[in-house]
Amino acid sequence: MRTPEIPRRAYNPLDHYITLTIVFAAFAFRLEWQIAILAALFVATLLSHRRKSIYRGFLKFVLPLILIGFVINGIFFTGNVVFMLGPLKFRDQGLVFASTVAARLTLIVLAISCYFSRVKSETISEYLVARGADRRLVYIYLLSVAMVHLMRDKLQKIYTAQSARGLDTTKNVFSRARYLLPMLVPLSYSYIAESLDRGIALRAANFSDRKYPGSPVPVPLVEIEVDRGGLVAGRIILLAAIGIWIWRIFS
Amino acid sequence: MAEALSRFEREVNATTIPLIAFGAALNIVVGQAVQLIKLPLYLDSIGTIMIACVVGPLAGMLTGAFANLTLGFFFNYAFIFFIPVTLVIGAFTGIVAKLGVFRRWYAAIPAGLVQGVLAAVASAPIAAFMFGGVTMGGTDFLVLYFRAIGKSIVQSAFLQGLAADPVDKAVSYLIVYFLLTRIPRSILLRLPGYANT
Repeated sequence: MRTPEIPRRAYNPLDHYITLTIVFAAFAFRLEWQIAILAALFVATLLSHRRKSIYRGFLKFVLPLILIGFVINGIFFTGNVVFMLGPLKFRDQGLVFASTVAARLTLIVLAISCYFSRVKSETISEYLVARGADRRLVYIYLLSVAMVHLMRDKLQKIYTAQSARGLDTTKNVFSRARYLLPMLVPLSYSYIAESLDRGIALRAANFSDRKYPGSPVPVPLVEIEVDRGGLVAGRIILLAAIGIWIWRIFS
Repeated sequence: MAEALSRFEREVNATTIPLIAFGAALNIVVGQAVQLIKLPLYLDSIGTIMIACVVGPLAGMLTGAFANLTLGFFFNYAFIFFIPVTLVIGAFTGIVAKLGVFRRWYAAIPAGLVQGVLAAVASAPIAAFMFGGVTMGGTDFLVLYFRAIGKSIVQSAFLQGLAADPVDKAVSYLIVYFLLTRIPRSILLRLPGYANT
């Protein structure tokens, strides 16, 4: 009998090393360096085929955070008044602090967004397993992502059923709170039962093979082809960033 | 170290792995349920609390970490930075569950209040240094207020957490207690931490 071929997928570790380097720079480097990296990152995101979703996420979650941070810290820090907006006085120390936080957040978010626009989470999981990560943890992650979508659909169905039974979201908070348990009980019950059944299946397949050393070595779902050049280049970039940081401390 | 590893092997096995994934997903989905019925609470740790109770503290910590990872990757990156807070929640709940706080509703409330204070302590430095005190959590106006009355960023973030977290966690503990009382015994008996319920 012919053994079915395991699908192959390429992975370049340079992607995650660059992301790690940028996250490191977001904490360790000065503001002017961070702005320079940010400019490069901005160009990289412009070239990404998923630039729309990257910028949508940024505008939705990060920009409001940055703007509110500028208002709160700009007003309530001490220091010289830089400008006034009606009765509000924005001070230099607060604006510098808010700029540092804004640059850090933007760097981290854009770096992670770029990474996920280039690499699928399944590929990352298989790569981590191939590199020796505990596959139980990888499985938990993949399963929780899958379960979120299923549970959201089920919750929507329960909500529709509860609405038909008289759930009214315009009533006061205590009346609305009464509907939380009737929504969560069927959801929890069915998924706990399903999880326990899934656990039986995993036990039958000797999933916790660390407990049973004699069990067969698991076959990977996908064979990962690691780019050796990218691995070396990535390590050099990260080490260089750490080196610059150490040099800056002692100089 | 060997003790911790053996505990990890005990709590993270074929039986509990799907439960941990369920708990992580529940954390996210309950957030959606709260939005649907427009409640002024987060209740985003119910899965962590439930798994810490029915499996153990390490499983609870993992549940919280994976929930925040998933939330961070798919919804809002800010959640990734709050993973240490979920570790505190998982660990504390796992420990107090063994003391029997989920066997009586009136024991769950004070435990939840203490949990809320611990969560506020853990989240304040993260909110202050990573986000400048702003988390877009709906209680940012409290940070604004505390800053206005002269508190530092860390103090403001802590006081904001203290104003919101204890009530949120006490309600979460209570909900988990009621959820566990409504799940049939035949199912509960199959859970590793059945004795805690």
